[in-house]
Amino acid sequence: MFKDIIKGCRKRWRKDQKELYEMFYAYGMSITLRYANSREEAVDILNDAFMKVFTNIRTYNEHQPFKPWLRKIIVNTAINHYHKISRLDKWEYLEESNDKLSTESMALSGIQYDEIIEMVQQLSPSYRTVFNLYVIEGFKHEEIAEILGISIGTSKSNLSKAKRNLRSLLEKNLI
Amino acid sequence: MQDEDKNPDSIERLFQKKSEEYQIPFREEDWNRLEKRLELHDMQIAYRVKFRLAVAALILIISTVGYVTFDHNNRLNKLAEQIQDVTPQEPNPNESSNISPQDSPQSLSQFSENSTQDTDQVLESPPNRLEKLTLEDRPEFAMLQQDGDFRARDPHLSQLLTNLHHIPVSPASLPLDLPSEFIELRLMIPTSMFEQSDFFTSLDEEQSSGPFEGAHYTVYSENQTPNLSLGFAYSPDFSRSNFSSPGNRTGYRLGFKGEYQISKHLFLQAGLLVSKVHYTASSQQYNPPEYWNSGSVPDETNAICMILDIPIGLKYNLLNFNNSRFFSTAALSSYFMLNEEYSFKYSTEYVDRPENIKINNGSKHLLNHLNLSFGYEYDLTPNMTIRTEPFIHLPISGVGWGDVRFYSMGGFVSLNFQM
Repeated sequence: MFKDIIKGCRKRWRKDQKELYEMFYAYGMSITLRYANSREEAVDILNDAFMKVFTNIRTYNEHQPFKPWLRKIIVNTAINHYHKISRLDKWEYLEESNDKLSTESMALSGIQYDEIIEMVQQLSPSYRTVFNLYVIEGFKHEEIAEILGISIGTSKSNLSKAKRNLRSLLEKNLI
Repeated sequence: MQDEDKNPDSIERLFQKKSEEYQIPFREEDWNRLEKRLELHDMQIAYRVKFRLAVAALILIISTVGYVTFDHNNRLNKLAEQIQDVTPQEPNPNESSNISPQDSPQSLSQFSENSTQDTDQVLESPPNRLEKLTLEDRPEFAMLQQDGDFRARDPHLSQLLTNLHHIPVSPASLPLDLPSEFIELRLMIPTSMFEQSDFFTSLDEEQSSGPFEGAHYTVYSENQTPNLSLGFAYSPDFSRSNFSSPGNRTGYRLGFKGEYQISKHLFLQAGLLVSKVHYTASSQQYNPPEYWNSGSVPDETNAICMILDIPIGLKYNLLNFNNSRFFSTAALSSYFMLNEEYSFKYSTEYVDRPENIKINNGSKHLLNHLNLSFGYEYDLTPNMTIRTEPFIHLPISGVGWGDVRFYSMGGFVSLNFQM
């Protein structure tokens, strides 16, 4: 079944392309939403990623699982997106908060996925990208520094500030 | 860093866990946006395939025409060498003037029989003596003999032509004492029968006195050719930043082209054209100066450029026909940017970025486009020709403020005048 869809995509059959898109839409959006400032921007990143998927589908090895291949493309696309917008010199995002958060007081299970995404999107792109790559994708600081073209110290610093800001947001959210 | 050390995994665990709990409903409109891009991509692929087929067809045509021309020239050269080996024998001046209709043993029907002789036979069996290279040996002449119109118009003229089969075709033997009607008729003889030989080139003359005043005829003599011409040319312009990019608005190319004949088939060409070029460039193709927009490049750039185009190159006549010919050209163009207008599109709408820019810095790009064309020229009058000339311009380097390499295609239509 899935192999037939891939074959159809290789022949640029629109029906199979839509089926593949629909199949991995939620998964892809769960990644891109964490890198984007808004849902629209997340859709842009996802569609960019799927364009790469459809134009490079011949390079996909059917004997390998599809999801990791797709994830790699989506994350790379999100990183490219970060590079495109990172040259802006004017940010209007939450840069840093000195508020302290007592992690013990968090009602972690009560927070919805949408709320989590909303908090992440309030971070500046540089904090958000480092946080996603480190916490969710599992990259090391050395790798993040290389991917984003920043120093290891900056990567660590951005992660620290991202966490601090998220704690602050969580605390406000729970009050 | 202190917080991270204190509670290194609490935030991380929360977000790792929540990131797995996604339930995001599918939105049809998101697919529609992607589908539009996919359709555009499919069109680009179709363009690419068509272009490759067109290039293959063009190469095939040029190769075929080139081979035919080469073969044709080889055979003509052999014929010319054989003719050169023969000592020319002056015709007896009395021969043509003393011929009376009664002396002519041949009738028009005999000429008709000769009309079956084709050019190949003439070339394969060249005459051994110049006297034998007469009009009647030419198939075109035989065809002319079959023209019922002129025979009906003047039986006497018809008879004169019948007698002409003894007259060698050479400058010395042109029957200037013939009636003006014949002189005009003589112009109907395809000039290609003379052009096939390097012995003769054309010179237009007009009888200014005598019984043939006003008659216009062509005498063939050596080394007298109009070798300078000037033309007015126009072409629509279809420019692309790459061959697979979608079509944009149509521009134009308008101006003058001149050429100087440097050998029988070869011409030196130059021109001065004003071009309006439309093209679309992606972020990878558009390279504005680094200082602009903090180095950030738009996802799509639409350009309208006014360019002064100065091409210099060569034209080669591949194949000559009656009053027409096929030719090809190769040239290098220098672009002088007169005016540049760029409008930008971004995939993300949240960023406040410039939407357009106008540049008027007159940048120069010397010999940065290779022009190739293949055309057809038709003689409207002895001094005026019309040409159609499909072309392609290939970039050697980037052009303009965005340093974009773009391709141009089109088809010139030009009127050319012999100077």
